[in-house]
Amino acid sequence: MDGDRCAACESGCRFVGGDGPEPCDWLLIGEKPGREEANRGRPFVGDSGRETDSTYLGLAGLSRPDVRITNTVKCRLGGNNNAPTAKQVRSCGLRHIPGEVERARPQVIVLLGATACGLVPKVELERDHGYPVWIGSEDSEFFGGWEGWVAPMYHPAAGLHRTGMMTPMLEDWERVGRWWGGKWRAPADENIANVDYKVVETAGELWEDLKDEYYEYLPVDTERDGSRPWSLQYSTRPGRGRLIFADRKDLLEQFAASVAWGRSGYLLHNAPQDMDMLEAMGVGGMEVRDTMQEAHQLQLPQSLKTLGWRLLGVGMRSWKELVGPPSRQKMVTWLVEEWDRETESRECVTIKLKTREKVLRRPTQREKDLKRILSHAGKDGYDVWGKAGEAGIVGGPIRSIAHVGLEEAVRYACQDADVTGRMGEELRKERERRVGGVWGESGEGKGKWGEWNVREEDWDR
Amino acid sequence: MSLYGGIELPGHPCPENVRRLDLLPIPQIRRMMRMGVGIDKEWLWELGSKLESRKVELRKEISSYVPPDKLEEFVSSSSGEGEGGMGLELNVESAEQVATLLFKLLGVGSGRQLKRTKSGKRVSTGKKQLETLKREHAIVPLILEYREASKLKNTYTDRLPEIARLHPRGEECLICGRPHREDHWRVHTEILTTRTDTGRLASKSPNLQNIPVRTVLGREVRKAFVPQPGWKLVAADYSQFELRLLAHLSRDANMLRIFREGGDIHLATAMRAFGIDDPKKVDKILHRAPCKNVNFGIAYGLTYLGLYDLMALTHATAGVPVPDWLDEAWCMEFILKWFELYPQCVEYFELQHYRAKRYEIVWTMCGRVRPVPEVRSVHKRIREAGLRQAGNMPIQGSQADIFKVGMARVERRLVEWRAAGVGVEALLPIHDELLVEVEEGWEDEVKTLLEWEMGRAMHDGQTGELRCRVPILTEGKVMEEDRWTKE
Repeated sequence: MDGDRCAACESGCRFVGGDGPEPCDWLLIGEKPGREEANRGRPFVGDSGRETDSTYLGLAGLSRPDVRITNTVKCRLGGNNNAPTAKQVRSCGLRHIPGEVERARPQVIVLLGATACGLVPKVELERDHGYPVWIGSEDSEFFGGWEGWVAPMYHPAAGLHRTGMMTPMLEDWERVGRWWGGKWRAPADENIANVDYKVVETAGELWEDLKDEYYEYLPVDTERDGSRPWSLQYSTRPGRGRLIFADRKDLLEQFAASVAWGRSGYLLHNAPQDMDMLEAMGVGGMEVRDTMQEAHQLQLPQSLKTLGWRLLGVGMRSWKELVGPPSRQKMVTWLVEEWDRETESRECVTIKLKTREKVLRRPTQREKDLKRILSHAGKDGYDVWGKAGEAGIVGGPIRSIAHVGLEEAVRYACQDADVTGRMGEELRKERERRVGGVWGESGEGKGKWGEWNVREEDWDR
Repeated sequence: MSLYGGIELPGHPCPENVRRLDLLPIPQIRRMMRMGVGIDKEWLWELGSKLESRKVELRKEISSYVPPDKLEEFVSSSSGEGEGGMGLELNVESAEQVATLLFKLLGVGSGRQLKRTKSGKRVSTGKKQLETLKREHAIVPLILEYREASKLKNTYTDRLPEIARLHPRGEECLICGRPHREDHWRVHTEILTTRTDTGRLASKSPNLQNIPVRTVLGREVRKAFVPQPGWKLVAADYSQFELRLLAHLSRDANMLRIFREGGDIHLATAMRAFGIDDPKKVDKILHRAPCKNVNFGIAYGLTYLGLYDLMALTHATAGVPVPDWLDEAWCMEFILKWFELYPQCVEYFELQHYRAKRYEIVWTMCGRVRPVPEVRSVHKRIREAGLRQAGNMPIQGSQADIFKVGMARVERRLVEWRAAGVGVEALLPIHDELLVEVEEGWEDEVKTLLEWEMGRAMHDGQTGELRCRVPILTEGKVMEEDRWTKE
């Protein structure tokens, strides 16, 4: 097998290739062989392998002889607890995986764990786990131009270390089985083409809007600029979102007066935070529902973006993505101005030379720090605020939605309120679904995973 | 028939009930996060420097156990940790060096089955392992003390003063909106309602729920939390809440009787387990300690190995050598005996295991669900861990449920008090304890209020009837030293 070794391989570690039929509809790619795998020269034969074979594959209607299993990295480089480095993945993966994909000609590639998911840059494990994604030939350099479905999954070892992780993992495998059998497809955002997000300008608009009583609890969200409120957004039906700027006291007053009519309260995502902002804008005091708590009670993810994608098929930008670049630009401009000011206030020292006097202007420590930060500020991932804080350079602009272009900011902010509203409906349906059925109705005298309908004789009394 | 706030005890999964329950403490939690908890910065600085000098002493003392010819090796591998001119020293922070010293050079624990690290590379130097080796070599307690000092210094005495915020004197503080008589510093924690499977509240940045109470040093850190000038700290907690809930859920006749008669459950257990008639003859360490350990541990799926560790810890804390007869076999027998005393508890755990296996879920009294996916695992240890969780979650989760009702009851009354002009603020929930701050002169009234409202969390909101098979007891305490303390 020495001919198979890549540049990252250390001598002495055993090469563990793939296992299973070729060609094969399902190709599973894990991380790297463990101790047991290295001893026996076969992938997925240790604790994780046994768990995969008997707990997970069956949920998707598969069994070990039906699938081919391999690893991203083929040897146990660096021991059990160290994930392979990007360099090792490139070196080993590019050498072996394209050939394996070509020989297996799979219909679906299952990516087990973060390392394998790293082979396809557009896959985000936290967001996409258990949701098959179509990839084109350009989407991964590791698959030799292959195109088809990839199913990102948590690594089976995750459930061995944190057993609570088994809940989403069981759901994922079961879902992939239903998807393969044509019984499930990922939700698609039906409102994407005709969303209606805008700023409320007049009292008349607001009045007309709030007459719509589609939602019992009005979905509301807030944005802040530092510790001050920047805006309030609400949604009156799916696909619609409105924004009121925090400085429009007249509109907020009217909002407070009209919102109570016909409604039970506000629907918020992460209520404690928004309630502070609502109170600061003078529109608090209503009863609330919290979609973040409701998601947690059903063991669903808590981030609105992840929930939006998984339950509604709505792709949402993260706050960091939205606010990062424009705020950074503002910060850099401010740092340049500070640097100019600092340069002007240099201390002058006059030195007598043989023939003349020379004036020296020594840079201060602050000037040196500013220069250093500015020289790195263009680099991706360089934390300008963190570095400035460490050097004691404070008082500059913070990351804030106020720096974002108006149209972009309104779209982002209104979408949060809109998705919160739609999410509230989905979570209500999900609660009813879980306890709504009759035990055993879903087949074979056993309930389905994720159903909580319990026979009455098994209740506490 | 429902508790305060219309919360029901349905006895089956009921996400709608839990949805309403989890909203109940939100107003109080928001206030708590805004208020923060007062700290005494000087106390922390002083404690920090004491910890630092203790660390230096301990490092020297620990290094003195290294054979002189080996010391150079340690120092060269600790990347210059040794302080020049003060003699060469071991890097106690390095688990690798500690493991080499303890197990290779000093032969601590030889002949014993020692736990290894996850990767299996070397013997573990984890706290649990070292606790059991405490009496084998004088160096072990020193290492444990060093680690504790180091942890307390990094997490609390250095960090808390840095992140504290100044609440200035004046009529309306910009941070919390309340009037203050003096400038003072407060630490603001984030209280999270969606971080635990059991529904317990969590605290982060900083986590104020896990300040150690078992050690002297840990208790010193707790004392750094103080009321604002002119105010008092009052705390109230539930007494043996989890065990009472176990009695309620299991309906164990013996346990119900002891609690209803108001007896000391640990003493009663000890008298029956060891066949002692006279309470005066019950020895605190020999008889009461194993009972107390099992009483508290049983809800967590305590095993005989766990009991052995606890007993070793109890003896070590009391400074008494572990008797020869106390071994793992004795612990196993004792747990079996405990279940003989409380036979319906066996049925309770069996019921939860049945639910876990049949429905793959267990639930609390208010209907909060915890899936038990572990039962599907091919690995026995995972299935067993799942069943332990299944036994524990309904108890711990129900406790968290009821505590939230208690918090809401307290806050309703505090709102009335504030409206009447009394300065009073809830500061922090710590599992089954609530910490409150009140203007001087009102501390006894607030203590009674806490005891009453928290104690009535399981009473029907309308009729006042108790919805639990045993009385729920609470214990309030005014912090006399004006510092947060706990026995």
